Amino acid sequence: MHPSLLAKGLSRTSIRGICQRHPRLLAISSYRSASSSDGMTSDKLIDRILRVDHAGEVGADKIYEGQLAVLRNTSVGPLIQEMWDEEKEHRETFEKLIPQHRARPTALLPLWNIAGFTLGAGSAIFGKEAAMACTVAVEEAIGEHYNDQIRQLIEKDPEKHKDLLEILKKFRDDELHHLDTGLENDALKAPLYDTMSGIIKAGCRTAIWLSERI
Amino acid sequence: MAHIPRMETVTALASIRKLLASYYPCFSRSLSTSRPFLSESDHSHDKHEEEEMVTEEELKSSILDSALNFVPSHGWSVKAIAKGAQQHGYPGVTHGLFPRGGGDLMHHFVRQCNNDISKHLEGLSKDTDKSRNSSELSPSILRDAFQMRLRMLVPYMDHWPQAMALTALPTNIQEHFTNLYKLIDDICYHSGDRSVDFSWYTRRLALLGVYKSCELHIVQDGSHDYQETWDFLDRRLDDFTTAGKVKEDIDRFTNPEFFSAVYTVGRNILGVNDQRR
Repeated sequence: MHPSLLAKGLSRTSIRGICQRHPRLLAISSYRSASSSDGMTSDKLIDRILRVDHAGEVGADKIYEGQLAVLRNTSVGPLIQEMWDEEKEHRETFEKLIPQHRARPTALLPLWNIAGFTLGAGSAIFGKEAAMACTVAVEEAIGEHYNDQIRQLIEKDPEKHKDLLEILKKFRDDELHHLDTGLENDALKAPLYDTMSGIIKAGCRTAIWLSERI
Repeated sequence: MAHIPRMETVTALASIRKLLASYYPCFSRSLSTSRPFLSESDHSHDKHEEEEMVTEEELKSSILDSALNFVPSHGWSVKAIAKGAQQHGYPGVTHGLFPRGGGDLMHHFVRQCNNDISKHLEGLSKDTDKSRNSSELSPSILRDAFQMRLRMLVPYMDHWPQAMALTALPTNIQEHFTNLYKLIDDICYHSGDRSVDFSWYTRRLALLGVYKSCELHIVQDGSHDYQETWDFLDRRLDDFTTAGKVKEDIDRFTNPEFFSAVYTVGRNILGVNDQRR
């Protein structure tokens, strides 16, 4: 492009504008974050956070349900049941918070219901190690995502969002605990671990991006 | 295409500013959204004396409020806004502050109505029981909220079809839907909806349908005190409540346990489950 045209046409603001309209570009150019809170009011940010977290917990609930459906009578059955109960608790917390903050739940809930169960059952069919690998991949993506949200809230106003921050921190710690459990139970021994982990993490990030907006 | 209205606004505002500057020297300062400016009566006084500060938002709001008085005679148009401005002592060209003309007036009116309804509903839910089951929406609150909101249209009923047509313009569509969303969300929430699943959407869509159909009905209703519209509203709300009950009944019977029970009964009937055949 001719330099003077470049100077006249593409100002810094319009490049930022393009990056804001296409967050994927921004994500690729900077660190890999699925979320961006530039220029959003506190209310809109909380609405978005609650929506995507609720969607995540519904997904996790369904994933464990799917895994348990296949692996109920094996040695990891009780362990998966325990992790499932914790996810159910997380889901109930968000289901209480959403009406409280007048947030909007995601319209893709039926989709995440089906996709979660399919992922859980599908990974469990390949064996306990595969199920644990799926858990590890999902919990890694979710842990990263909770950290992003905690960072965004702290940037905005840590005092005002104290309660929500505490909840998010506790849930992040729970998810990372599940991650450790998965690793302890031979997740890394699963066949094609790297491929599966990569696909699942990419899927989770897409789901997070979609639920934030829809 | 989105840039064209902005250029028009900028040139319109610039020319208005020049015109106003020749009448009122206080307008020769730049008007930013929330910077206060002196009203013309105090311009010549000493700064330390009491000044009447009015922000641009308040000014616009008060002009539009006066303009509403002229809607029955001039419709939702630039003329009504000009008359409203004149009532405040500003020249008629002040309507240039509102690039969407009649659209801005209509949106102002709709926002006001929605805020009134919100306040009324918040007052109501403070009185009623907070622990409401999300599977029932209170029909009385729904009916009262819809009736109250539709009654707010009564003084402007003659020109309301014009306002409805204005909402179809590209510059007005987005705000129209934002206002509708807020109205329906408030009504749904305060009549007891605490759902967090897909029924959040189905309920609001259904109520939107009820509201829109009643709005269409009321603009062509000639009965005394719009009684036919209230009957129409009651019938639509009955449909809404019935649909909710039907969905609940269906949900009761579409769960895995039920299907596995049906499957087992089928096998029993066919004798497949018998140990000895």
